[in-house]
Amino acid sequence: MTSKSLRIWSLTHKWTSLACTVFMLIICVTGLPLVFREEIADRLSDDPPYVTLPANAPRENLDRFVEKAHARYPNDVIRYVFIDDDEPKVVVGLAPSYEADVKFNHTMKFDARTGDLLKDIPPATQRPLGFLTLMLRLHMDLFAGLSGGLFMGFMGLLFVAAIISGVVLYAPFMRKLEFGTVRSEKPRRVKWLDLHNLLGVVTLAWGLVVGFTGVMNELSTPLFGLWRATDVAAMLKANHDKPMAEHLSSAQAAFDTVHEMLPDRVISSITFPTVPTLGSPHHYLIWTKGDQPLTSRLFTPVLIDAETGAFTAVAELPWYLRTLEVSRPLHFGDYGGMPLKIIWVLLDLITIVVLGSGLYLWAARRRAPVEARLVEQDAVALAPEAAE
Amino acid sequence: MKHAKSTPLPDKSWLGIFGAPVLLAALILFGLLSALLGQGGLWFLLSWAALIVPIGVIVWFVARPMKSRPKA
Repeated sequence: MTSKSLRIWSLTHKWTSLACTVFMLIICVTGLPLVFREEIADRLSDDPPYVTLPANAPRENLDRFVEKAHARYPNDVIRYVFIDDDEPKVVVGLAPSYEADVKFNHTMKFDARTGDLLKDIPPATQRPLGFLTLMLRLHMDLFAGLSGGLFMGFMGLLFVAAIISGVVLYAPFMRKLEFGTVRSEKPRRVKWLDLHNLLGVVTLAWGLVVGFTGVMNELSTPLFGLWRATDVAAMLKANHDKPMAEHLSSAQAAFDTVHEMLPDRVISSITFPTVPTLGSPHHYLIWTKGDQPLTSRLFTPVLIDAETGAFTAVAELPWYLRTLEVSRPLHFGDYGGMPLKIIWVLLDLITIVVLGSGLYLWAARRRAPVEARLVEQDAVALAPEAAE
Repeated sequence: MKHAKSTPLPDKSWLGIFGAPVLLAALILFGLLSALLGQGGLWFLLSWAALIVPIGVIVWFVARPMKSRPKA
């Protein structure tokens, strides 16, 4: 490597790291509890337990949940019905109007078999800030909405750039050292440099994957917006002048139609007719997914005419939304059982050490250009051999 | 092997420097994908086994100099 390119890589590593380290530390620390968010949510939940029924107990007709929601909130509109495949649970999401911001959504949680209302949950704006929400907002957007999310996404990109430049610099720093050398008898700075290099290079593939998929997740809102503005808009063009569907056909019938057409797909939710920014004014969007670790993350919506109940179209998602969907499990680490979650936490902790040691190495740096530090590095590298 | 300070060690080859990191990166990618693309069961076990290796490598190299310190 020429001394000029070495200096450029060194500056790249220094500045990309410095710019993102504080935010990456926030992301890594808040990420620790988020790995276990399902377990923590279960533990913190004060929801009444489900009654014990045989595993094959029939499920209540979906239209009953819709009726109950309408009866309790006659002035609100139904946004969606979510059908859990994990717990015997159906959640109905409502909003004060079609146009209302999603933060005003409130939900009703039902037992999917008995049809009993288990919990009536007010909108997030009226709930105290829960621990997991606090962690998630600090992790995702620092309470600054879309712009905060894009900012954190940019920090993630800097993190990826810092990893790549770090790997390039790894070569000259290791040219005299055996892999895994930790010179613990040397000055503290040398020892931490070795630890920084070792921990960083060993976990680099995980860091790149989780960093990049984190950036993808931050782009979720704009990417879905792009899809609605292009593909969905084109699909709904025929209904462009039709007003909002008023006399809705049966949601259960729409569910059954899709279930008959696509018997191997699991139906996870139904988006009710709504404003074009959230769905289709004239259709039920029936969200289907597969039942394997990967395919259960790949959703395909089916459009059913909300007045006639007739099948309209299968809306295949574009490649960029498929990439986003695959990015989610690879970021969350929630697709391989408890052992994978524990591994995620360990790798997160290692990343925190890499970030912290990087900050220390910068603070305790020698005010010398990278070439001088390399000469020094090589000199120290000889010492352990000479001592043997 | 002894080296006088006046005769510097030769630079290591690319493979000497990046061999172990590339192997570990391949193992991590295999671990990440096997649980995602496999159909559970054995693929989960392979995933956990593959991903625990880099953590074990770090523990090994961090613990090693601590153990050998009294001798040095």
